Amino acid sequence: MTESVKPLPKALSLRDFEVLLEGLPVVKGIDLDVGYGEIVALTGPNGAGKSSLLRALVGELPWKGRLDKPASLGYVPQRLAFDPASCATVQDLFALGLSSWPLWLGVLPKVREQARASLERVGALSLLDQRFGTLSGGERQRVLLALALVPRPDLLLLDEPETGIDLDGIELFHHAVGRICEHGRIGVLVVTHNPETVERIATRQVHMEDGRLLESAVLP
Amino acid sequence: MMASLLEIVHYGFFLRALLAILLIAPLLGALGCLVLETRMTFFSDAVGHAGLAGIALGTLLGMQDPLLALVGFSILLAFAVTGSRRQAGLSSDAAIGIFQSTAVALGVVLLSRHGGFARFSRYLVGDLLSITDSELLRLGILAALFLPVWALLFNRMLLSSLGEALARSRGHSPWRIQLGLAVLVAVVVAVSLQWVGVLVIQALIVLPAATARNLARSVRQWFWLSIAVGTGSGIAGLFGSVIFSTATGATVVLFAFLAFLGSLGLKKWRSCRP
Repeated sequence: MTESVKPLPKALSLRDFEVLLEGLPVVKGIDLDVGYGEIVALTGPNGAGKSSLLRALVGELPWKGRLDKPASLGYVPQRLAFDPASCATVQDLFALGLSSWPLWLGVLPKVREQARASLERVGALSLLDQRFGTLSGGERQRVLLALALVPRPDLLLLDEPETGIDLDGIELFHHAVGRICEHGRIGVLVVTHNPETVERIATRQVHMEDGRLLESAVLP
Repeated sequence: MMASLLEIVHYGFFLRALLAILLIAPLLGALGCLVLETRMTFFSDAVGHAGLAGIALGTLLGMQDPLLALVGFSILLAFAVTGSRRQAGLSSDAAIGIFQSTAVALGVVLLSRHGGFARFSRYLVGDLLSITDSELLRLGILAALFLPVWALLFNRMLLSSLGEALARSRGHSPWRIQLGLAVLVAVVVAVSLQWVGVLVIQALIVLPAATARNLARSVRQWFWLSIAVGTGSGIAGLFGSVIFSTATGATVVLFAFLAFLGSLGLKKWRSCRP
């Protein structure tokens, strides 16, 4: 198992990559590069190993092979098991993620500014003081995207970000991801079942089945 | 009644108990926020019950004051529960159930040997009014140590409770964070146990935080409200226990429950407002 976090010409590079679940490989022999400015859509049927691959990249599952990734990583999970009764506001989430200054002593002005700027980029500034548990699925995903973008990551991992979002929410989310990639030197790997996501935002599609990469196609 | 209350305030035992409340209640109130958010409610209860085994071991080892054995055993329980979740893939409730019932059984077996169980009943219901100066000092040291650790770990603990992958993507290790919180809960519960009581300590952790959550609009408000509710219930419970000659820990819990009911009413009223 080799991992490198030095500056790279690619945002992500996997060679002979395997993901292990209870000691058994569920993803095998993956060779994959994600370049800066690229949005790679990882598609495939349920159980193909897409989410397992992403979970290994964020350190949730053990893996073997070679992984070169940047030190700065943004991650938007498929769904956050968030207690709707929780008091945490959107601003609180940013403070928890960005600062070690205890939240019970208040939010630092710098963190508040970072939160405002990032939420503005994804069209969610109005949500800053709202409780995260009361937001709709689409609003939550945009907030998580905004959070993943601070500090600016070199690689952004999105795990089925459209799950549980209505059509308007998906539209806004696509727009937000598109804008980020236009303006930043960033690579994006997005796991998706949604053909519209592939069509609207991806620059390349990679298809997986039975834990292996089957094909890769550059999209117009 | 007022006159006798004013009189009792001047007694040393009452002042010591009041100081103890002012140290324990904010600690438990602060801890409650993360215990509730990380769904560790039953872990705090398990530490309280398993404390019996720690007390038994301390007594068996000939310790005059079994506190060290109690704290040591509680930390061991924190490692056992967190480790078995990680290594054996046990669910949280299964891990807690297994270790809690085994520790309680061990404690009861050891303490009941030669029919000596009754001597330890103070640990079941607590005995705040008997706290001594040196025990008070010990509580003060705990509070002083707790504060910087709490300040250091609070954000990452709360972030980890919201999503492990989210915490990992920020460079934190959820496993270490969970272990850190479990050890912290274990130490605070173990030290507070003999004054609060095994049977009610869980309520003193959960009720203030749950009450505050019904009223707060941010994590910061939640945290301070939880401390305020815990401390307010503690003071009211202490006076109540003196007036009605009841066990202090349990009386504090009843006041905390009244506050919880009030918060539910207030929450309902807020949601009905146009």
